[in-house]
Amino acid sequence: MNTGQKSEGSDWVALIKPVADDEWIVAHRGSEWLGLAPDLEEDLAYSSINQDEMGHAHFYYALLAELGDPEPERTVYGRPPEQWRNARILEAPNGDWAQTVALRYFYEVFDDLRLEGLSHSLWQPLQDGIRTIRREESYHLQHFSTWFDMLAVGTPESRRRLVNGIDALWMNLGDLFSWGQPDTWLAAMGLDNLSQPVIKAAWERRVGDKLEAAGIPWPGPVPEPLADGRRGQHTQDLQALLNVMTEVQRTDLTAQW
Amino acid sequence: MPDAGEYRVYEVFFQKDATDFHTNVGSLRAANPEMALQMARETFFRRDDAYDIWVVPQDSIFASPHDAAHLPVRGMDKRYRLPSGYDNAPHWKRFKAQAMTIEEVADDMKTRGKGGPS
Repeated sequence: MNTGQKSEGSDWVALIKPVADDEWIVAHRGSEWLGLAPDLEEDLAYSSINQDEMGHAHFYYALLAELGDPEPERTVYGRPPEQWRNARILEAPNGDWAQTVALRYFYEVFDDLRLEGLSHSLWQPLQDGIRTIRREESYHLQHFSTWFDMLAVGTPESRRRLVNGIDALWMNLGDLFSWGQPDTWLAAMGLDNLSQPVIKAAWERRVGDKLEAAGIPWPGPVPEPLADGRRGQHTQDLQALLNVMTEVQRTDLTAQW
Repeated sequence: MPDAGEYRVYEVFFQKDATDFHTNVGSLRAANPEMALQMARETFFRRDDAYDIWVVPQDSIFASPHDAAHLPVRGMDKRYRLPSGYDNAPHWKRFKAQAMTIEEVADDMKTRGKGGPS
């Protein structure tokens, strides 16, 4: 790495860590559906998508290690909840399938906008990775967009469950758009498009169009978060998730896996 | 619409590259063609590249009954219909070696008389 990048190392960490943690945590909750998805085909598809997300997280953790963070394994298995930077909504236990579809659709739209913003970053290794990642993510978005439409018009029950799922999520989506610090540092990196108000407005436009097309009433702007996962303020659910995730690893901390 | 409780079965065909025929790789159930296409991708092509994927509702396929009256089975000796006795291999070898056009091969055969091994 050249010195220019070194002097901005902490900026790159602040930029990449929330992305890495979102991908890892969403994939972990996704993996809990293994064997439980509505049909065999979706079981395969959803497992595969979550493995993709873990792959993306691994790419970001490897970049973080280059920037001075511990190795990916340590970063994933060795951090207490307050050091995680994922959005709080992603650590919540899974609801029913319709709520899961709503959450993943919301997240994939957000991730698409975030990747578009990140693709303009001036660090070549990050740019190269993002180009590959976007090829997979566009398919993820397409998949949950199709599911969303299907549930919206499928049966009265599928629509009711989808609407209930959206209601359950909506109030808690706020810190998805946060970076855990004032947006000024993004401007300094030339990444204004990633700032909280810009990305949130773009997200609300796209999701708003989707809801309108499905005839689902707009729940109103996403409220500001009461607590911010990007600042390490997490619910008890994250501790519970980490306990399960590290269960095997904790049986022998000295083992080489 | 099929039964509310049953998804349609789709047969999945894939083309490995642009010059290949579409080959059947299996079947799956899905709620609609778009979903069938997405599921096909995950069920059959997680680790492989594909040039093109088709999904076809299984009930759209008009298939022959499995009996001798409907399926072609070789009865009589048909060897007299096989194109043996022509040896074009040397022409093809020259064609490939010289990167000739097919017209040039034809001219070449004319100038060499009746063709065949020279």
